[in-house]
Amino acid sequence: MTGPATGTTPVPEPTTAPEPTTRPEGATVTDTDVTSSATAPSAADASRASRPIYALKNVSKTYKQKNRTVTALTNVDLTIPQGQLVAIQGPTGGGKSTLLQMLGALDRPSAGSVLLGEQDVAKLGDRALTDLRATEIGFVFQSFNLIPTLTALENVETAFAGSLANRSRTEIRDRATAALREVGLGERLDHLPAELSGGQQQRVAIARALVKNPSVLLADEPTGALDEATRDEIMGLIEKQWKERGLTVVIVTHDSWVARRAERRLHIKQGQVREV
Amino acid sequence: MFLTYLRRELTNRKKQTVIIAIGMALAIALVVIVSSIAGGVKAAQASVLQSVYGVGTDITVTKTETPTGSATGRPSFDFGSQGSSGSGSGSTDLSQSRLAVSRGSSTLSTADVKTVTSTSGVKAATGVLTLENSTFSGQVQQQSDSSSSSDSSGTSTQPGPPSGGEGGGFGGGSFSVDSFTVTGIPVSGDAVGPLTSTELTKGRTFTSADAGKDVVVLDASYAKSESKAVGDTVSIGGKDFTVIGIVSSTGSSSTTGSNTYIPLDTAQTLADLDGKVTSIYVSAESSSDVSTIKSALQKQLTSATVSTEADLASSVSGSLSTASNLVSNLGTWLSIVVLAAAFLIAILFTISGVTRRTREFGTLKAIGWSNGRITRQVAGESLVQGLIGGVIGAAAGLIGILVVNVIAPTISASATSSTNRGGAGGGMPGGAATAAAGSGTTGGAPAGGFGGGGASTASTTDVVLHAPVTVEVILLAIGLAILGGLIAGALGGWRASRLRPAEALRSVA
Repeated sequence: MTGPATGTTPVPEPTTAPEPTTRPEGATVTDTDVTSSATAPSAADASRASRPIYALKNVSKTYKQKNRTVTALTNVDLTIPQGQLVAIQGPTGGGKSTLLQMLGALDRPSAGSVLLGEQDVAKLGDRALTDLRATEIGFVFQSFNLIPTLTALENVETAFAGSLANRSRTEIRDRATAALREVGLGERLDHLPAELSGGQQQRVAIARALVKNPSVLLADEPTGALDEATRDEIMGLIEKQWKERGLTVVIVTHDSWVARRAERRLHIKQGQVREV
Repeated sequence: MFLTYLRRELTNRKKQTVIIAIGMALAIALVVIVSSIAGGVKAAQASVLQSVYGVGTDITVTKTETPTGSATGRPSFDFGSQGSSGSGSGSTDLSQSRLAVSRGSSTLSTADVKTVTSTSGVKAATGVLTLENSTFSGQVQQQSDSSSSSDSSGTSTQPGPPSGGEGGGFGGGSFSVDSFTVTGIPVSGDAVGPLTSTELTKGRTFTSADAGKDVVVLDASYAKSESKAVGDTVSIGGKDFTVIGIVSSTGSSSTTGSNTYIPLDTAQTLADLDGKVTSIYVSAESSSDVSTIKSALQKQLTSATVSTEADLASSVSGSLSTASNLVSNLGTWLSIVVLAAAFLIAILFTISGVTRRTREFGTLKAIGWSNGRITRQVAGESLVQGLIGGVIGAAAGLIGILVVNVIAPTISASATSSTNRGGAGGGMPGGAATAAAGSGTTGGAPAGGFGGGGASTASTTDVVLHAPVTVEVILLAIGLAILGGLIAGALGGWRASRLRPAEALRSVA
């Protein structure tokens, strides 16, 4: 939905840092905020441009595992400005995946607020979270997670979900084809995942993630299952899309080489996030 | 997307599709065959009943023998003093014919027929008089004469044990009783009654001019067994009747309800039962009235037995009733068990399929697929698998039905014409107990009267079993397949929708 806007908006790092502090009860005033933006459109546009895409406030996440409670995130405060390329590193079990689930609206925090744009993931119902994922978030996974029975083109078409699902068949097909061409797989539209190499499969996954013009691309170890040459290729592709689209990209990775290419590096350990 | 995904899943995961479809197909085929045979058995029962009661009979009114007995009680043969007159010859041949109401049943009056006709809801009523013609023939030896002349006369007679009677009694001998059924029917050609389920194969049926005449219409198979043709004479109650026509059953049963048919008034005169009938055949204006009419008739004719077609179905015995029980018990339970197993297989395979595809569904959820869409996808797959199974099963079932119809098994059935086996007492002292079957079995008895044989006149007939293919059966099959698919799909979909989208990330350590 913000696809065209983000495409033209310059990367707004400097103004974003103070933004969360001026909105301490940001989660509760969301509605008022919308109303005010309606009354003063030009001011709202300006504020949206300088607004962070993510604002995590005091986020904790605990899981119940049998009889004990596992704390995955503890009081995390994190702001990610629009258009930033962020890498998250950290030891296994440190909370990387949990943080990604919060950012990806896959799960709600146990405490605190996770603002994605103007919406608080902590307060949305399942249906709203589903639609948020369908329209705003592109996901790329370590093991590609393509549907094995569908062709490359059909896999990309699965991205049209939620409010995008009612687009016409031709529009869906055309956009999916274009997305695959963009990642260099224009000749592989009818191939099943098993007939593609790992790198090609990840390209299909990237096309699937980006075909709907999301605000955010979340990548969970996108190069973890690839060899070095392919890793460079995939990272190059992600960086290209990031630059061209003005996307916000969050990459969880073990790979320091990948992490070093990010604008900003975060380290998460025992549920605590710190800047590197 | 829905259809593409569905098609890809079914074709690219053939094993699961095939197993679910085969399980469903087996169950559906069984259901189709069993319900079709059940329909065939029901039709056969109806056909047997029709051969006895005629087409369109909704209710019959009969009267069972009262314990006090009457003229219709025990058949007795009176040989007078014949036994002692043949002195010196060593043995005496005896033969006597007797025409009487079938044992176990009693008579109603023609006034009762009028009562029935005037009952509201009754379209037509016909009174008929069913009689049994018994011919007793045999040979007796005199006790005083010790010569051992042969004691065999009939082919299937049974020698009675020598009794120690003295003076003029029978010293033993052999007898055979030949009996056949005689039905007196109105000559006016009524809309309801035993002849309505027959067709004329030779000669003619009764006209009003036949009233009171000694003319007879024969059942085709009886005519064949007795080698009688139109124009021949048949002895009934000691009188010679001219055969005017031969009728055969229009249903799938091989015989009609009676061996012979004669004009009602002739029968009444001959049996000395003027104004009496044994059964009243009733057809209702509408089939929905049947139970109302039944209770109305029961109130008016308190001593009579009023039976509906449903009541009569239970009177059908023989291997047909065995088949009926087999189908309704074993067949039904087998169908249910196999169907339950097929449903279970479909459910388990669907759920295990969903479990195997945890990451797939987790991924779809992560990229924004709603629970509803995923549930629909899983349910759609199961539904189509069930439908494929249903179509294969219906086809296999039809082939099975075809096989049944090609083999066309013959099932014997008998319907007791008096629905209540009357309380006839006794039993033959030592003789064969099956003296009274319509086909004319024989029995020997020692000196003395019959104690009374089987109480009812049974008309035994052979029915060819046809398994009909009805739209209902096919719809049932497809309905069950859809149901199975939906249940499996709903459970599988429910399972899939409960997966957390974070499962998509689970493969990452």
